[in-house]
This record gives sequence, structure tokens and C-alpha cells, in this order.
Amino acid sequence: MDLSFTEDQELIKNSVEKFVTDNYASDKRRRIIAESKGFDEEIWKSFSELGWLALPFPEKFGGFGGGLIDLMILMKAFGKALIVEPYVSTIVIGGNILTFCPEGDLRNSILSSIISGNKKVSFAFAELGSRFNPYDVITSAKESSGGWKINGQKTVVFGGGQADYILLSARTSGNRLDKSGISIFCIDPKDKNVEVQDYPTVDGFRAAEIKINNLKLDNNALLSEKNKALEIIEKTFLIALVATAAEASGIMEKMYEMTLEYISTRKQFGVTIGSFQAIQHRAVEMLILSEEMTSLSSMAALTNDKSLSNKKPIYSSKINIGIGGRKLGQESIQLHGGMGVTEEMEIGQYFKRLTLLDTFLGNADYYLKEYSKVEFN
Amino acid sequence: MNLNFSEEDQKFKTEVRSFIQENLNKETAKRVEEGLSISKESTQEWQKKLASKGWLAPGWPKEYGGTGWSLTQRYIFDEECGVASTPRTIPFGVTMVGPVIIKYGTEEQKKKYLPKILSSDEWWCQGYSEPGSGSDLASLSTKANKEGDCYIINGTKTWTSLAHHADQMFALVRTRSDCKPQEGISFILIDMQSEGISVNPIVTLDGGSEINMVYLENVKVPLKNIIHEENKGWTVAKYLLGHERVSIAEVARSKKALSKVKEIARLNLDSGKSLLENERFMDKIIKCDIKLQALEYAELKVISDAVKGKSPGAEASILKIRGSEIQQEITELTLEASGYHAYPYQIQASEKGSNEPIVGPGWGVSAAPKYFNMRKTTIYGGSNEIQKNILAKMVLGL
Repeated sequence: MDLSFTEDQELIKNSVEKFVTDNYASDKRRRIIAESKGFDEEIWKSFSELGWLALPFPEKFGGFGGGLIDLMILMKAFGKALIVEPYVSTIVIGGNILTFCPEGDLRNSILSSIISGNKKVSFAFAELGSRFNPYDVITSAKESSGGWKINGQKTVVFGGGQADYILLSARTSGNRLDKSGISIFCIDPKDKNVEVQDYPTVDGFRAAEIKINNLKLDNNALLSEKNKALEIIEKTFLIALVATAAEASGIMEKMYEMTLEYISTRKQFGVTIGSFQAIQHRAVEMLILSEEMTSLSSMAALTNDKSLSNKKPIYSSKINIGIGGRKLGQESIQLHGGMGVTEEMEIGQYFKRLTLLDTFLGNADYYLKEYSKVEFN
Repeated sequence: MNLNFSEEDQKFKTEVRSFIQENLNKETAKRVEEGLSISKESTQEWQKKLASKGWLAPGWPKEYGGTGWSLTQRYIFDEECGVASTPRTIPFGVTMVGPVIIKYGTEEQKKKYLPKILSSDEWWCQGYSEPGSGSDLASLSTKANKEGDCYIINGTKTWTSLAHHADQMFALVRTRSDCKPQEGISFILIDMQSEGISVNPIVTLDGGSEINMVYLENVKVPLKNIIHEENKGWTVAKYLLGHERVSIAEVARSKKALSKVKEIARLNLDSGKSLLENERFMDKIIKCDIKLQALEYAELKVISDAVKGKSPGAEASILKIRGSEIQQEITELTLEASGYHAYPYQIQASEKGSNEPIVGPGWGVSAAPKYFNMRKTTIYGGSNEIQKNILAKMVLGL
């Protein structure tokens, strides 16, 4: 047993930490959020040059063949710096959907274009009433004259307005909640039959509502095997959950650090508020919560690094964002007092992202149920 | 012991309910219910309706324009306002400085200020906290130096809610430094039009800017604007704090907000089913409901004691602690119920009169901003840590 990073992993860690320290100060991030695109071209280019866009992909597609531990290292540092570029939506989710789809000209060319940083993709899955269920798909794809006709609506498509291609889950057979009968298509967001309403999200990212009205597609737009996309989606989400838990662990570590700094300098009654035992105990609890998140995140990545075979630790880490993460987030605001609820303070920016990471891809209640299915069925 | 309202109280309840029904702007009520921002105009419109009925200041003695209601009637009134989602009466004039002027003000001060509070023509703000003085309020350092028939005031006040709308400010200022901090503080009324005052908005996590930083630079304030006596401001502030305790728990508003969560849970949002079938979520609603029931009883007990002439004392801190926690918990539940619909940030679209379309269902719009913003309830009004200090000292005797 050895729980320390390998030399290569240390290299990734050092390089990403150095990059965010040198290039991603809070005022930079706030500028990026304020701009309508919601990401910075130069930053994205740097991601590409540093190899992070290629990191999770197999070498045969031009990727670096990185495992989940590498992804965890990267995402934790992204969390600490609160990176708002659409890395998870394009690379982790979009990229893995493509990787799991069978080889084909369109799929291969999109994959290489996102690895090179020239294009972005986004996976549209959630629908108005689907909540967190990936196989609740009403959006339909019907075979028509040698191709497909798509109709439907997707909600809160992460990075949807930033994407050059939308990967779309649609029902090719069966009924609303059937697990089979779902397929993945590639659609062009600029098509006149596709309406994309792009907007900022409360955590500083961007998402879109997408309406598709009688969109005609060629056969080659079908990326997955017909009716068999759910497995691809589920595998992709497991990887995305590992990335999310790692991001949360970075955010929580940073929030703990900022809060410790605040209580060590903020004075009331002639002393720093950190000198009060009641505050000290709460800060210690925050440290423990932060460490727990890192432990669960590490366990999830480590036990699935080579193959996705261990769902429980992944669910555990995601569930804890909604339990330990929520607790730490709320405590960090409380200990900042009035300053904690101002937009100006960094703590609130982290708080917002951490809060919404619980919702992302399914909240704690959702994965408690999934966990229980794995454990007791 | 009984929980029943008298026949007279029942009649009063009906009267209040029909008044609200006839006078409350429906669009405003809907915005209150959805947790969206309420403009000054909308609040003013409602307060003026109350004012013309003579109901704006239930807490004032009758001879000053109060309603002469019993505490039970006041409770009923608050409850009905909560259920109907009326805008909240802005507290700074009516429930804060008004009673202070009635208790300590000179005849001239009463004549000058009270009628305009009662008619809702003049709006007030509260100048207490400073950047370096939050929980330790007595350490405040905004200075008032005597010069002729004026004080010259210099300093910075912060977290000043609605200062940008206010015509007047009541403030705590330092008039002596060579003594215990509490003994050198004065309570003073400042005209917000005075030269040397600048108001800078503080943007909060929900994107709103209801609170402000107020800079006072050589602001001239007449000596006669002091309330009570010079250096007796701490006494006045304590009176103000103890005066309005009945609605501190926000029970009526929380009941309404929780019923709203239940309504959302009834919709078919959970992949073809309603959240009512999701026991994990429903248990949380019920647990919150239980806490709220306990709080409601505690609040009624405080009222019942007060009717018998027993003042609430430090136990009111319990109402503040639990009341604020429950308010926060309800926003947590709304956020959870909203699922992905909590993501879109639509502060512009949710402004009154905006033409921007709302993304997703309307009730999702305020879910996340409200959750973020309501973190303030355990921080303001004497943070919950300060409330616990009060309880430990005054009730537990530690």
C-alpha cells in the first residue's frame, strides 16, 4: 500500500497549482464570468498546451491516457481556484460520452477537435420533469427517410451555449422511463431548428435551454449504438462524479483556509474572534469536514482508477458534498459574519459553487438511493 | 390552558383577512410569495393602505396613532399578513425608531417625526454596525464632536439596510471616549439629505443591493437631534432591542414558506412522480414542520405571558435562534426541491416589469438566491452566537 502520488502525478499537481496561482486570480475569474462567453480563450488554449484537454482520453485518440487519480488531482486544483471554464461539460462529460461511443468519422473528428482545444461540446440530458434520472427521456428521434427527425426540449444544459456541438440523448424506442431505447445524437446548435437560450448560472458558470423542433439529421449523426446509450451515460456520469467530488474537496479546503485566515485576523471585543473556544471548535470541525471530503474523493478515484467497477465509493463522495459540504459551506459563511454574505468576498463565490455541486448530476438524496440499491440489491 | 381565540378575536381575524384581500396588490403578493425583490413603490403602496386604515403601527400606544390592539390581535394580524404574503412593513421607522421617539423623544421631536412615520412618507434606516464593530457594537467609533449648536459627525456605518431609500437615519455615535465604551454613546437622528453623507450599495450573494455602506464626512447635525440624553445612547439602544420581540421568530412567514415547499413537492417533478413519494425528502419537510410547531408554541407562550404582564426577557433569544435556523432550513428545502431549476441566474428577468423571459418554472428563480441570502438571518439582529452568549449568561447563569 502506498497512498502517496507517483512522480507523474506530482508533476500534474505542481503544474496545475502553479498555473492557477499564476494565471487565475479572483479578479480574472470575475472578469471572465462578467463576459458573455463565460470562458477565456487564452486560458482554454493554455489548458490545451498543458495537456489537460487530452488528459482523460486514451492515447489512440491523441489523449494522454490519464486515470481518475490524475483527473482528481486536476479537478481539486480547479476547485481551489474556482475555475469556471467548461472543462467538466466539454472534456469530462462530453469527451467521455464520445470515447464510449463506437468509432466513426464524426465521433473521431469531434474528439480530436476537443482534445486540440479547437471545439467544445456539451451533453444535453436533463429535461423539464426528469429531475436527476438520466433515462427519463421524452425528447424523441424518429427514423425518417434514411435519417432522423428530432423533437424535444432539454433543460439546464451545462456549457450548452459555449458548445460547437451538442450531444443529445433522445428516445429512439420505448416509453418515457424505459432504460433501453435511448440513443445519443450529435446536433448543430446553430441549426435553424435548434433554439439555444444561453444564460449564466448562479454559481458563475453557464448553461442553456435547448428546444429542438423537427430537426432533420443524417444517419451519421447517431453517435451511439441505437437504443443502447444509457450505459454510456451512466459510465460517463460516474467519471464526472469523481471529478465533481474532487472539485468539491478543493473548494472545501480553500474555504476552510479562508475561514481560518478570517477568524485569525478579525477582531471583536479587543481580540481575534479565533481566540474564542466556541469558534475554535467550529473551525476544527471544518478542518475535519474538509479532510473527510478529500478522503472520500481519493477513495472514489483510487478504487476506480483503472476500471469503473466500484460505484459505492463514488456515490459516497458525491453524497458527502450534500452533507459535509453543505455543513462546511454554511459554517464558513457564518464565521465570516456579515462579510460572508457579500458578493465582494471570495468565500461567497466558493459557497455558491459548492452548494450547486450537490445538485450537479443528482443530489445527496438521489445517490443515497442509488447507494442503497448497490448495497442491498 | 387553551389555544382558542375568543369570539372577538375570531371576528377580528375575519376583518383583517377581508381588508387584506381588498387592498393587497395581487402582483405584489405573488412576488412576495415567490421570494422576489419588492420595490420601494410596492412596499410604499401597501404601507400607505395600512396607514390610511390606521393599521401601520400596531405596536404604538393609541394616543400616538397605534391600533390599541391586544397582543393576541397583533399576533393574528402578523399571521394573516404572512399567510397572504403582504410586503413586510419596513421596521426601521414603525417598529424601531418610532417607539424610541415615543418613549424618549421631546415634544418637538414627536411632532416632527412621528406623523411622517405613521403615514409612511418618511423612510428610516439604522446606523449601528461599523466595519470594525459588529457583534462588539459598543466599540463603535463614528465620532460626534460638538461645534456650536451642532454635532460634526465623522465615520462609517455598514450593513445599513435600505439607506438608499431612507430620508432619515437613527444612529449610534461616540460622544465620549474617556469612559467605558457603553457610556460614551449617543442615539441621534440624522437627515439623510445632509451634506457629507454618501451611500454605497453592498452587493450581496443573491445579486441584490438592499444593504449599504454609509460614509459620514463632517456631517452637521443639530444638537436637538439627540434622543434622550447625550451619552445615554446605549440605554436607548437596549430599549429598542427589547421593545419589539413578538414577531422576531417569523413564524407566520415561515409557515407560509414551508407550505410553498409542500406545493412544489406536489408537482410532478421527480421523473413522472411527485416528490411526495420521495420519503427522504418528505421526512425533511416534516422535521422542519415539527421544529416550526415547537417554535410557534414558544412564541404563543411569550405572547400569553406578555398579556399577563411578564416581559419575555432572554428567552426571546431562543425564538431568534430557532426562528432564523428554520427560515434557512426552508430555503434549503426549496433549493433541494428545485433540482436543476435552481441553476439559472436571472436577477434581471426577475426584476419587476422586466421583459426578459424567465428560464424554467417561476418558483425556481429565487431558490438559490434566497438560500444564499438567508444565511444572513443567523448573522444579523445579534448573531446567533451572541444570542447564545445572552442565554448562557442570563438564563443558564454561567
